[in-house]
Amino acid sequence: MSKKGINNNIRKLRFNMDEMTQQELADKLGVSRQTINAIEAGKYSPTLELAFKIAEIFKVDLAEVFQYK
Amino acid sequence: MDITIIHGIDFWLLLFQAFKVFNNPDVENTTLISLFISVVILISIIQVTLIIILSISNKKKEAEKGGDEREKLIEAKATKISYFILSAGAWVTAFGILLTSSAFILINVLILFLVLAEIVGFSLQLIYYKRGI
Repeated sequence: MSKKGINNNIRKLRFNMDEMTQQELADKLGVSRQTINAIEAGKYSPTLELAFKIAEIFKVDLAEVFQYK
Repeated sequence: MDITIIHGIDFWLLLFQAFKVFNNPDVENTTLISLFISVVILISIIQVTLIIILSISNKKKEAEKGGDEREKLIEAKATKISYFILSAGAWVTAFGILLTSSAFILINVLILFLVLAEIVGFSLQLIYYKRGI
């Protein structure tokens, strides 16, 4: 049985939002750029609160940002 | 980065320099204890002063931002392991009293575990930052 993991579309969503940089997103969320980079790379799963904030910034549903598969 | 390791090593070296004092039978235990407390207070003052200087010199924006959730998690996980090492050191020192009555050896064992705990803590933080958490 293959192990499930959390995937995300943050990179794509950033690109669609006027090519927002990781630093710009980090500043809006109040976290470090390294944290955004780690989330994008799948090295860190954010808290539910941060996940909702990310979805709110991109004006999409949470499921459009993160998928569990 | 925390400066406890540097101070731990400094402290250790200082105690080695005070080896003669510790091994001198003419020196009373109260003198040794007062020497130990003096060194701890001195190092604490130096550490607090350096932390204040570092905090002031950091960017104001960074200070206002507060802790990052990933950084807090990494620090918490590393601290948990450090705590176990430090606890082990406390137990080893406690049982060490049964084997030796030398305050010098017991204090050094305790400081060895303190430095070891810090080194392991920082190493784990680096690993978690690199590998992910």
